[in-house]
Amino acid sequence: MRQTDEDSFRRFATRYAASLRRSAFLFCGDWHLAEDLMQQSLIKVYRSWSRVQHDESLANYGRTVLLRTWLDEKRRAWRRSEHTEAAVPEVADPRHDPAEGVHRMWVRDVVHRGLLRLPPRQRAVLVLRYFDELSVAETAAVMGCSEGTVKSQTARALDTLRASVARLSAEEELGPTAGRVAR
Amino acid sequence: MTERDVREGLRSAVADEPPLDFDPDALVATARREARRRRALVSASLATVAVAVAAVAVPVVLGVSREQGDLTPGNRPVASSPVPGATERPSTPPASEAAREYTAEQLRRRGRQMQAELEDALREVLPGAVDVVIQPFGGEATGQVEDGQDYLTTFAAYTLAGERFALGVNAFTPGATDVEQLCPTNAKRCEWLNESRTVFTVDEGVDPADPTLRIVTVYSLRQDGSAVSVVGYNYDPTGRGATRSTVLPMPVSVEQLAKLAGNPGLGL
Repeated sequence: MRQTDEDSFRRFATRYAASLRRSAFLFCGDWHLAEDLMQQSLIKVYRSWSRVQHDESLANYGRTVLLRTWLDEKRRAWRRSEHTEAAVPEVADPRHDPAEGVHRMWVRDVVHRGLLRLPPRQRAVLVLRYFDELSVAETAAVMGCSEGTVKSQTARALDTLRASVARLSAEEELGPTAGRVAR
Repeated sequence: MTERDVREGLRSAVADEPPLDFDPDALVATARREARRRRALVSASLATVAVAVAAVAVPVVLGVSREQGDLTPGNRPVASSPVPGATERPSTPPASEAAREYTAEQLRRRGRQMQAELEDALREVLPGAVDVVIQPFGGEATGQVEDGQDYLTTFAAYTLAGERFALGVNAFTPGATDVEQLCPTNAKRCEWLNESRTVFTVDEGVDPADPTLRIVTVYSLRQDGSAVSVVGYNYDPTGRGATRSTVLPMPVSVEQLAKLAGNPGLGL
């Protein structure tokens, strides 16, 4: 790769590493694995850099690679058996008053735990639509499916998430088994 | 719970992310090493490409054609063509090949066809296998498919010489697999097979929690951009057995995996 291309790749990687890692964390629920997925994805982008660097939707190409890397990772059986629990750290946010902090913590905790109970592609569609703030068309391009599929997956994922959150809330009222996440 | 709650929940979930110690130079160095490794891999295979080209070209020149029949997903023929070279990107769907998007019902139907096909193929390729159990093809979970899903996956468990093993079988629609990304960065070995459009990767001992695990994956890359991978395990990933202290040998050879992956009855 030419030096100028490598420099532009460095700029791309530096700019998007953090956001890719965040998306990866929302996908998988583990910061270590998220960092690994981000690195793997950027290496894959590097391989295709000469072909994709002038693509207008370069950031979304990175998201596509990340999504596929994660889905591939999930298909590997030993990884699947590794991640059976997602313990979401419970750290108070000092920027908010206690009551709001409790509410924020609850929202953060329960939404992400609910998300991690969703099938991967439903999880992905919610992250792309509501975290990355992609349009339906952009999400379809990233996921490699039609816009209609994105809409139906989003609706289904929201329904599933609501049901999952309701179950989690009920479990928390019931006792110590609360918070167990099966993926 | 509103969409706003979802947005808020997702943002909050990453609010306390650990610091990112990202070094773009180190990343580029790793990527360069990977690129060199891949180039070496392709170079090593080019010597055999000519043989593969000749094997395919001669029947074509002689006007030998194949019975193709109805090109439904169930009996679409496997393309015979040369091993991909350095400048070829075989997994990218050809321009004439529209991306396929299947409904859940189509995928379920196709999955049932492939389940039956796989059972026959496995008995032929692994004649010593007994107690063969083929799970229904699915997606995120066994038998579960969704509209627009671009792959189907299953496990085939079997007993060989008294030990329980399994194979993973994945079929991908055109474009769902990028040939440049077939070799995981942590794979111990990745090679192009000589005789056909297949590539195999070997992942060994990647899981530090259980160094007895061995996984071998063979991809069959079809000319239309679709792909089938068959994964051999030296254990049964579908079972619930205790972790072993000894390493069992891989019960299937790369050739056997390649034969399964290249089965024309498998594919999307």
